[in-house]
Amino acid sequence: VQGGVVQGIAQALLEEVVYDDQGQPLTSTLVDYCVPSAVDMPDMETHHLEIRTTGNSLGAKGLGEAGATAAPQAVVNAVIDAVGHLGIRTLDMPLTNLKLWRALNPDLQETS
Amino acid sequence: MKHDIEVTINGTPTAVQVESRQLLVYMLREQLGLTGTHVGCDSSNCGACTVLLDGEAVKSCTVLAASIGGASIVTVEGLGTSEELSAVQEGFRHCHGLQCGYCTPGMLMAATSLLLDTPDPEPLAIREALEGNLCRCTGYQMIVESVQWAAENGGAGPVATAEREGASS
Repeated sequence: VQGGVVQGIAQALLEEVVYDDQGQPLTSTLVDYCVPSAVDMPDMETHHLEIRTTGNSLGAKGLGEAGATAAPQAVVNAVIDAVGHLGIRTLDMPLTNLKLWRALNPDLQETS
Repeated sequence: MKHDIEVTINGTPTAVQVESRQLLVYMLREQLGLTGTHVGCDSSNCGACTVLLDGEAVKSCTVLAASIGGASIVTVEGLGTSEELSAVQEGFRHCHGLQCGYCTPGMLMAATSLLLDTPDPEPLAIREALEGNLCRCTGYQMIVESVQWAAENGGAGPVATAEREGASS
């Protein structure tokens, strides 16, 4: 569960496969494709809420990587909640610093 | 070009002939058969190849074997035995600090090096010390708890402590 949560948080904030216009992969190493390290991630506690299904005699349900499926929307919704008063209603993952800065400063042009 | 070097591997003086371009991790794995040290990214990002070089954690995929003549190396094989694990190894077993296990040898060596530097680290200090070791399975929480357990139950262990003292004397 915890590994899934970290994968989900990382999907929301860090990880993205990027190709350029010619199809050349730009995220082909662990420097460019940002797998989170321990210091990128928070301490967490895991609690289980067990609710048996009535659909079979065992009460068991199939489940996999619930953390990875739940964490991205939790993180992104929190960010949207934090910046919603500025009129931002949607942001595409991953919410990198640059992407958030661009969203917060739509009038500023990048110069390179 | 070949170089004859003498190194101490897990306490045993060893003579090895290595190529100029050969990396330490391949010397360990392919010439000495010490395959506990893993190759993950082969570019010093993931930390699976971490070993102790004169008592300090280094990524062995970034060290030229020919450059370490006279040095002392400890790999994961040298930390403890099956009968007598080091506290760090026991901590990972006790606290379930691994799932697939691929990153584990590197995590063990980096954590051991941390406990030599800081015998009683805070959780954030553990996370910072393991920053160079990637784990995809665990989410790091139980790795942090494993290292905390090790700190409270014996620390870096006699092998690593002797290694650090030997390097400084």
